[in-house]
Amino acid sequence: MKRRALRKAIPAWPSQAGSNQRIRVARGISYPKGCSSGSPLAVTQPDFLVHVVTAENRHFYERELEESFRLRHRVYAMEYGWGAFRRPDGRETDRYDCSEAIYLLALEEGTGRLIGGARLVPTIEGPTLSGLRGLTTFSVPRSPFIYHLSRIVVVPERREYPGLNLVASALLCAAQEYCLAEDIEQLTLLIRTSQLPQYLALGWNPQPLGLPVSLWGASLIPIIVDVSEAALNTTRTKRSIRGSVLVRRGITLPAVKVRSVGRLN
Amino acid sequence: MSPTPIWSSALDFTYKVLEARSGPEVQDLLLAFARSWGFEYLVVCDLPTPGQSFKVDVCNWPEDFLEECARDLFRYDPLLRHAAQTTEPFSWSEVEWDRSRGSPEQRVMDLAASYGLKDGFVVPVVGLDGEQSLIGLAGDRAKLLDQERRALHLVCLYAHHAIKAVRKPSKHRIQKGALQDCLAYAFVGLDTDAITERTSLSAGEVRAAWKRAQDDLGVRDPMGAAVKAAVLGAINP
Repeated sequence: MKRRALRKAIPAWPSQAGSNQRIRVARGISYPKGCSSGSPLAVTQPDFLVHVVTAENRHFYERELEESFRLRHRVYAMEYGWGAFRRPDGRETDRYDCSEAIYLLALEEGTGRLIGGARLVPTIEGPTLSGLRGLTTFSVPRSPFIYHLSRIVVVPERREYPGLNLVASALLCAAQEYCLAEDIEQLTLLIRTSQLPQYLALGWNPQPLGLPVSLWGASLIPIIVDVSEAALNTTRTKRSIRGSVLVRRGITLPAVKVRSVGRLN
Repeated sequence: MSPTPIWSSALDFTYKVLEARSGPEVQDLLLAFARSWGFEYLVVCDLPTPGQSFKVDVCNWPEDFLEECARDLFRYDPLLRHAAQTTEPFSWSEVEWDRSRGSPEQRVMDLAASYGLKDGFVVPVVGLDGEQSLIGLAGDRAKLLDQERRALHLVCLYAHHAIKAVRKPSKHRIQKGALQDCLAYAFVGLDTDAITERTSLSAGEVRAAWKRAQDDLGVRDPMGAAVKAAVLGAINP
């Protein structure tokens, strides 16, 4: 019942393949007046939305997708210094950057400049956490309804303050929004252990899948979180994000391809 | 990989602590977990910024020592200084400070030792807006193996969240069912007086429930919250 209601709330996108019409859901981010710029309560008007990129509409976003691979390399290989992510061509990709991947790209309005991104990968195609030996104590569940959220990156100049910046907040909202609309029920993530308090505060109900481990020079922890309207609403409220931040352009097929008779209630 | 005992107890802790109803209850749970490694004392506090006082959420330190810290000593505490510069947990022995006799930092550590706080483990915490706080465990002797350290890091983060959650100021603790009732009654047009007649809530609790729903759902009035809750399927009016 809840998910059907949410589907109705999202306007339909064009039915023709290759349509150039951009469907914008309500501009989602607004702030009270009088608050300092750069904080969650900033007076600055919202200037970006999060675009869903799948295999079906990827041709609209080739340039932005390419830029996201380069941003990932700048952040993980250069900024964090994680050698395992270093690539000679300056593009950070792996075998999960395939046709099944779903990208959430934060693009500035007007300029179309990429300022952040994230990636969703179905666990049914090969759970990414289990690929890291010794990382998890429990086997990562494989299900068409569980996706892995990773590669959350933001350009340095948009990380206005310590803690969870606005672009990252919007990407997390977008992930929850998209998953709710697509009947994805849980997300696995591999996060910095120091970020665990943020996911707890946002109401994502993170459950650890193992103890923190030292990997690539950082303390990381695998978690599984809820996809829920409560988590979305708490994230929006705590980060002062009103309404949807998602844009869908062109045809996108359902993420969960299993017929789920009886699951919708 | 089958779960080790320490992993099982750490996971069990994360479930139990989120059900705690008070700071002392969280404190007892965390100390029970950490006692086997020599920890007897716990403090959960915000990292003071210049000009701010030392703000403590939970603490079972000796009172005299806590008073001296709150008054002045915290400005010279090398552990607080280190915690402000890292997000990674650390043992006291890993921190560098001026250990010469008479240095302010050494005086702080000597005073702590005189009260039985001779060794310890600190977990820095960074919140959503970058606010910094920490959980500190201390005792007569603390020796952690790698797996124990990782488990303690995990449970401290959950304990910190639980403490902040139970300490959140809330004049009216509205149960989830009561909140839904208030919205459902608002949906059919009942006012506060009519709702108080039908429920065990006071008028203030009804208004607080509406306010909470408005904040959560991003709307401005009770009817708007009720409509949005109905659309989202959160209530069945």
